Order: sequence, then C-alpha cells, then structure tokens
Amino acid sequence: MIEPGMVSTLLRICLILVLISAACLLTTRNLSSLVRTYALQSLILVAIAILIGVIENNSILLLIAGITLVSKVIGIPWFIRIIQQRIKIQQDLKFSYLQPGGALMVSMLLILLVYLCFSRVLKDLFTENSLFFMGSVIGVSLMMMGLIAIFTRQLAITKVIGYLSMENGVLLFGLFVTELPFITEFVIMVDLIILVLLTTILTVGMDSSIDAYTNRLKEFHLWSEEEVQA
Amino acid sequence: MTLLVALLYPAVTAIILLLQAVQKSHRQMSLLGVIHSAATLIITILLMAMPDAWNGALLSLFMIDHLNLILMLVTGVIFTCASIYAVGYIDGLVKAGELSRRSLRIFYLGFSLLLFVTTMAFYAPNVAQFWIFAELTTVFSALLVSILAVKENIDASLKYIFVCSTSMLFSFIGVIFLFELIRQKTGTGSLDWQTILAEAPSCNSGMLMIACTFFFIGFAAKSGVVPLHTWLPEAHAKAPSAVSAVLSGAILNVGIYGIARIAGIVHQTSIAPRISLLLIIFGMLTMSVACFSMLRQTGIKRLIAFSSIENMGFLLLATGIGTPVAFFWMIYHMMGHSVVKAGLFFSAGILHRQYKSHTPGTEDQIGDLFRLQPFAAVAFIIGSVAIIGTPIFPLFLSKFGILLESGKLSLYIPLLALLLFALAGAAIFRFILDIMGKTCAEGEVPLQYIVPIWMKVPVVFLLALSVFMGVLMIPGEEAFLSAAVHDIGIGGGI
Repeated sequence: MIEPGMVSTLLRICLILVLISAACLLTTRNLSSLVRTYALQSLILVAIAILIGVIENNSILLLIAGITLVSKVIGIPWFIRIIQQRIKIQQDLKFSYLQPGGALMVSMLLILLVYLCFSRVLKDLFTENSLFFMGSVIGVSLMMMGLIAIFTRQLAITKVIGYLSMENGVLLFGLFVTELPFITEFVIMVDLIILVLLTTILTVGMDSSIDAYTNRLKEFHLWSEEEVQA
Repeated sequence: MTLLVALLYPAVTAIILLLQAVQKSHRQMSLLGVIHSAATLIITILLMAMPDAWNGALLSLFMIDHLNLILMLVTGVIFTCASIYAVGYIDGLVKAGELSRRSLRIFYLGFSLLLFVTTMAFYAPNVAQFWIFAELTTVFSALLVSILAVKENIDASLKYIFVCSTSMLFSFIGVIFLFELIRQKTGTGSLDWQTILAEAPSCNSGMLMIACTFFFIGFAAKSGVVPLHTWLPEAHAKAPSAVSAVLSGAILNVGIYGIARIAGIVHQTSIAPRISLLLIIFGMLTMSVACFSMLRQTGIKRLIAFSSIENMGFLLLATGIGTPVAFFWMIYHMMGHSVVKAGLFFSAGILHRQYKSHTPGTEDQIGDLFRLQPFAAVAFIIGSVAIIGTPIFPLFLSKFGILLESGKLSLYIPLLALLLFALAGAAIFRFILDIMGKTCAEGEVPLQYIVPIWMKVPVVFLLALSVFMGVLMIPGEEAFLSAAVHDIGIGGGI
C-alpha cells in the first residue's frame, strides 16, 4: 500500500504533467504528435483518478479511470488517427489570432486569473486540503487552454483535439471538486464519443477537398452502396 | 400513467428507429417519421388531459409537470408539421440532386433521434440528465444541418458543434458546482430539479452565483444569445427548411427552458436581483444585435434566423424581469414564436425550392413572386405580420404583457424594446417589398415549382393555429400556464 504522503506528491506531479501536456497541445504542429499528446494527457487523468480513488478508498473512481482508459486513451485517439490518415494532412501550420508563444502567455494569465477567482470562491470548500484546490484550478485552466486551442487553430481536426482537451479539464475539475454519480460520467462519455465520431467525420469534408468527400465517406462504409428505393 | 409514458415512449421510439433502419422505401421512412412525431404529440395531449395521473409523480427517468408538458406540446406540433412537410420537401431535394439518396436513411434516423432526445431533455428529472440530452440535441441537429454534404453546410454544422458544445462544457462546470452545493447541504448530493429548488435558499450564495453564471453560458449559446449567437444564422439558414423549422421552433426552446428552470431556482435566493440584471442586459443586447443585423440581410432564411435570435433575446428579458406575470407571458411567447416561426421557415422552404437558392454562395434570386408562388408569398407575408407582433396573433399579447411588466422596472426597457421591434418590423417589410417588386428578366423566368400538398398543409395549419391562439384562450389554458409558472418556482398570483 502506498503512503498517503507519497500519493499526494504523485498527484502533484501528475497535475504539473497535465499542464505541460496542455502547453504541448497549444504549440505542436504535427498532427500525429497532437493525438499522442492527447492520449498521454488522458492517461495522466487515469492515473489521477486511480490515485484519488486510493486516497478516498472509492471504487467508483476506479471505474471512471477504466472507462477513461478505454475511451480516451485508446478508442478516440485511434479513431482520430484513422481520420488523419484519410485527410492526408500531416501538419497544422496555420494559426489565427495568436501564435503558439502568445497562446502560452495568455494561458499563463488565464491560470493566474482562475487561481485568483477560485481562491475567493472556493476557499471554504478546500480549507483543509490545498491539493484539491490546486486540482480544481488546474482543471478549469486546462479547459481554458483547450478553448484557446480551438480559437487559435484553423484545421477542424485540431479543433476537435482542443475540444477533447477542454473535456479533460472538466473531468479533472469534477474529480477534484465532487464525485458525480457514475451513471452521469458514463453517459457523458457516450455523448462525447458520438460527438467526436460526428465531428471527425465532418472534418473529412472540411479538411480535404470537397469533391473527394462523398468518396471518402463511402470508404468508411457509412453509406451503404445499395440504392434506396423511392 | 407516468410509468406508462416512461415505458411506452422509449419503446415506441425504439420500434420506429428499428423500422427506419431496415426500411428501404423513402415513402415508408417518411411515413414512420410522421407516425413517431404524431405518437409523441398524442401521448403529450393524453397526459395534459389527465393531470391526476401524473401530478406530483416523479420517476427516476421522467419528471412530468405543467411546464415541460407545454413545451412538449409545442415540440410535438412542430415535429409533426415538419415531418409532414418533409414528405414533399425531401422528395424535392432528392429529385433536384441536392440530397443523396444514400443520405435519406441518415436523415430520417437523425430526425427521429432528435425528437427523442428533445423529449428526454424536457422530461429529464435532473440537471445532469437534462445537460446530456441538451448536448445530444446539438449533435443530432448538427447532423441534420450537414446532411446536404455541401462544404457550406459542413462548415455551418461544425461551427454549430464547436460553439454550442464548448459552451455547454462551461455549463457542466456549473452542474458540478450545483452538485457540490447540494452535497454540502444534504450529505449525499443530488441533481434533481425539485431537490435543488427546495435546497437553494439555504445554499452558499457565492457558489450558487458562480454555478448559475457557468450554467447560463452554455444554455445561452444553445439558445443563440449574443455573443454566442454566431452559429445560429449559419446553421438555420443552411439547413433544409424542415430542419430549420424544427431548430427554431423546438430546439431553441431547450436552451431557454434550461435558463428558465435555473432562473426559477435562483429566484428563491438572495442573488436573484444580480442574476436578473445579467439576464436583462444580455436580453437587450441580443435583441439589439439581432434587430440591427436583420436590417442588412438579403437572404430570406438568414433574416428569419436573426428574427429567432431577436425573440430569444426577448424571452431572456422576460426571464430576467422574473415576475409571475412575466414568466406567464414568456411561456406563451415561446408557444407563439415556435408556431409562427415554423410556418415562416416552411414558406421560405417553398420559395427556396422555386428559386433554387439552396445553391451555396448565391443570394435569393426571387422574381415574379406572386405569379410563380402565390401561396408561399401570402403565407410568408402573414407569417411576417404575425412574427412582428400584430394584433390577433399570439405574439402581440405576449409582447404587450411582457413590456407592461418591464415598465414596472424601468420605463427605458419598454421604450428601447419598442424601438427594436420597429427596427425588426422595418427590416422584414423592407425585404418583402424588395422581393415583391422584382421581376425575372425575359427568358430567365424559372419553371413553376408545383408545391406538393404535403408542404402546403402544415403551413396553413400553423398559420390558422397562430390566429386561433391569438384570439382565443381555450378553457383551462390560462390555469395550465399559471401552474407551469408555479412549477418553475415563481410564487405569487398572476
């Protein structure tokens, strides 16, 4: 059994790693590294859920870690990788509004702002445990950084990864602030998967030439070849 | 009875979806769509007729009260009309080659799923369940917007998903806060609307304020409130008209429903004046931006879409005023707006088929309007008269009621609102006069589009219904609406 002090140190390390992964998502131009970074970020969340589960002796958190592992570390990145191969674009070079350096600066400001706001609002909630306060601040900060990624990136597929990173932020916030009923977490995951399936399929249309769109959808066998009788 | 709905409704949906998935004939798929919508409407009417069967009943998956029944009635009417309209309209799209035959099954499945998730969102007994179904309405309506598989539609659809879903994540933070607030009070935590309504007065007001503000961000985007409205004109204008009608008439109501419920909860607490101010400011801002934008629209569907934004702003204003009378007229306005707006989108759909302005990148090239499409032209003009709030139509009553109520807060609110209504009216009539005067150049007169009866019936029905609503209060309607106001948590007489 790991000592509680050790667990909290590990949690702090994980939280820092989450922030580093968010910074990488803002700056990386290579699409496959982006997906890898997202999968890694989700894996850190799995570790965080397990560690909190150990501290609080809560089996629900282990279940949440399980579905996160299956969907966000394995399932969704796998699907996005397939789409990336289809659109045949390796790099996302264009940025709008902010260049990566500026985006990082804005992120730092946002983290500070979230910290200041939360230290006023959530002070009562976490008086005895600063770690949980830090976790919720980093959760919302991760969400904000995902939002910046959506604003600054131009390719739809990169925006999808920004959205997924935002969703990771919400999960992180939820893990540290309160424990929602498991069914809620589960249904949200299903909702997320449907959303990602739809947006990534639409992405094929946006990020590649439109003439090839129908053919590409056919490649995915989304439309059956049989004609529908009128 | 509640149990019956809880079991019957998902079962009906499952059967319809299954049949649509295996069905090969287009006609049968569209017929199944009509049956699904009509079944939803009939179940709602049955429930409304038997209040004793569900009053106070609460199952773990369904909450039925006056408010969600009224909105379900509206949703049922709009979806039934839209599915009847789609019988003729979608056929036209397929024949014109704008919609691939292979997409038909996806369209009808998406349409039925959209109706299902909207129903489940209204009947959801707790906030998390409501959030999830509201999010799914975005997903399925985005699927329907992109069904034409043209780059403009995909672009509009992705914009819709990104704006709404990212904002909805903020409101999920609000949901987490709400859960924690109730957990502090009750020890176990709950997200049930009823529990939150009961516990709210004794909750930490600072955290409740943060929770409500986050919650508001997401549902403001869902209902097209400025500055998160950017997706709406694109999505509503680019979608097939049957879908646009559903988006404006039924799906926008989901967002306002969420805001109204949370406003009812806040109303129990000391932070009510601050949230009211926030709602009034955003309401007025939304109306202003929408009305000024309407002035420079040249596309018919974009004009109607901006009019939806204007009406959502007005609903937000009514929610912000927060008195029982304001809430009463707000619910009435939602009903009236949905019926009239769906009729307008249906008429616009007929004009689109005539002038083929679905072609991306082109403006509506309307000419010889009364000679080619007299029915759609008259329907569009009557709809326009109704939407700006002329007497005998329902929006007149609700606008009058809400403005009178807002005058009690400040005289500047009704004055500004009236000015904005005048702007919106001017924008719509400038557009009508503009298209009435145009004639097609010699040799460029398009062939007359023969409007199928399926497309005419819903338009006539909705316009007749709006006149009926405006001149008559059916027995029990007032009491039902008052009970709905009470369900939101707004006490006091009307």
